[in-house]
Amino acid sequence: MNLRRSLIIDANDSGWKHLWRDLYDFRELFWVFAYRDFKVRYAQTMIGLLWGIIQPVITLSIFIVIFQFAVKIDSGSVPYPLMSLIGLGTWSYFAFVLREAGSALINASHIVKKIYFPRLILPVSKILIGLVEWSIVWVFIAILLVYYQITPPIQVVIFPVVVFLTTMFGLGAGLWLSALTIKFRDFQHLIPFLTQIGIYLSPVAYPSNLIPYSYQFLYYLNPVAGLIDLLRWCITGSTLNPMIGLSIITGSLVFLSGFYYFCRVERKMADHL
Amino acid sequence: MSAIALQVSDLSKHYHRSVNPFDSIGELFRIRNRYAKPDYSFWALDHISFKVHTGEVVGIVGKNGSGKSTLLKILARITHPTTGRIELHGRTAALLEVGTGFHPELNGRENIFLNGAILGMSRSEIKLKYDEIVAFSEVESFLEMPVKHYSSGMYVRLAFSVAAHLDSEIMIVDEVLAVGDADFQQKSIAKMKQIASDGRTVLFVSHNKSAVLSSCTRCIFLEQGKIKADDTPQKITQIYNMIEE
Repeated sequence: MNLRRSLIIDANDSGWKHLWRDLYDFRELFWVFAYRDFKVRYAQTMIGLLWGIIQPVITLSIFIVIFQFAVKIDSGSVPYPLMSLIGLGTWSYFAFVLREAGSALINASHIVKKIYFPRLILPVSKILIGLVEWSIVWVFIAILLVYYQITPPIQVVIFPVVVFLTTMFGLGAGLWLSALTIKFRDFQHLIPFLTQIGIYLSPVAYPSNLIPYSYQFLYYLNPVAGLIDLLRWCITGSTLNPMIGLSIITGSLVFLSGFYYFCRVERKMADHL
Repeated sequence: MSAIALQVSDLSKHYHRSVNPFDSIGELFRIRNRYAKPDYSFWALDHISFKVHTGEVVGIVGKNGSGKSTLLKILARITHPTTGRIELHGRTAALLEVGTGFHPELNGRENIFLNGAILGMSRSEIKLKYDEIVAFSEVESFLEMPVKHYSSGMYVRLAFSVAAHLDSEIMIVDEVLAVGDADFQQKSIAKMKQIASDGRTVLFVSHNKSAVLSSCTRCIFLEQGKIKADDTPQKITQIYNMIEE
C-alpha cells in the first residue's frame, strides 16, 4: 500500500503539512490519470494523434489566407507562417491546460465524492496530454525553420524555461477555475468564453508590435502575450518588448494565488459537488 | 485489551448551506453579512467520541440522516470535520462504493490498475495480486474488452474483486456487500467475512440488520448525529427494532 501507517485527522489542522506527503504517497495516480485521459481521448478515433496535426495545420492555413494574404499583416523579418504557428501552438496549449484543469474536478465529481486522494492530482495530470500535442506543433515549427533556413539565436537555451512558465500560468488559471466552479457553476461558462477571447487578446495571428504604445500596459497584463513574445524571441530572435515583465508578474500571481486557493478549499470540495 | 486502532474524539460536522448564492460570494471575499440568516444549517455529527480496538468489526447503524454517511466521509477523508480529532493507527482503506473511477472506455485490465491506484495500491502491488483479482472476478476472457461492453454483473464482479484485494489494516466500508448475481453474492459475503476474521479492524456502515448481526462484534447506533447506543449487535438490534415499532 502507498498509504501511511498512521494518520491523524484534526479539525484545526491547516492541511498544508499533509500536502507534500500526500502528493508523494499518491504520485503513481498522476501517471494513471494521465494514461487514462490519453487512452480515452483517442479511443474509437480512426486517426488518433493525427488530430493533433490536423487542427493546427487547418487553423494555420486559414490564418495565412486571411492575415497574410487578405489583411497583409507585416510580420517583419520573420515569415508569417512561422510567426503565427508559434503563437497558435502556445495559445492552444495554454487554452488546453486552462480548460482541462479548469473542468477536471467537476468532471471527476463522482470520484471526488467517493474517495480521498490529493485533489491537485486531477488538474495537474491534464498537463501531459497538452504537452504531447504541443510537441507535435514544435515538430512543424522545426520543419519551417529548416525550410526558411532560420537558425535560432543563442537565447533558445531558455526555451524550456518558457515552456515551464506557460504550463504554470495555464495551470494557475485552471486551478482557480476548477476550485471556483465547484462552488459557483457560473465559472463553467467562463471557460469557453476565456479561450475564445484570449486568441484575439494574445499575439497569436499578429505580431505584438502592432499594439499601440498606450494600450501596451493593458495588453501585457495578459500572461500569454508575454509568453508568446518570449517564445518568438527564443526561436526566431524577434525583438522583445520589456513590457513582457508585466505578463510574467501577472502570470506568477495567478499561479501562486490559484495554488493557494485550491489547497485552502481542497478539503471541503466534496461538500459542494 | 488489544491496541487501539481508531480513536475518535469530540468529532462533529456542521453543514451550512445557504440558498442565496450571494452569501457564497460574500464568503469568497470574506465579507460577513450580519443580517443574513442561514437558511439551512445543522449538525450532521454532534460531538461524538469512541474507540475501536484492533481486530474489532464494528457496525455503524442508524436511520437516514443519523450521521452515518457523514462519519464515513470524514473517516475516509472525503470531507473535513468541523471539530474534533481522529487517530488512525494502521494503513486505512475506505470503500464507499466498488469500482470508483472505472472508466467505460478502458478495458478490464486497465481498469484494475486505475481503480487499484485510486484506492491507494502501488503498481507493483497490483501486479502482484493481479492474477488473484482476475481469478476472483471470473471475467478472465474479457480483460481486453472495454468495460462499457460488460454486463452489469461482470462490471460489479471486477469492481468488487479489486476492492476485496486491498491489503489494509483498517477497512472503512459502506454497504458494498452483496453485489452481483446470487452465486457471486455468496462468494463476496464469504470474502468479507474472511477479511473480517483476518484480525483486521473493520468499520462498516449498514442498513441491513442481518449483515450487522452476522459479521459484527460490536455496534454503534447513531441518531441525529449522536451516539444513542454502543453495544453488542444483539442488543443494538433489539433497540433498533423497538424504535421501529
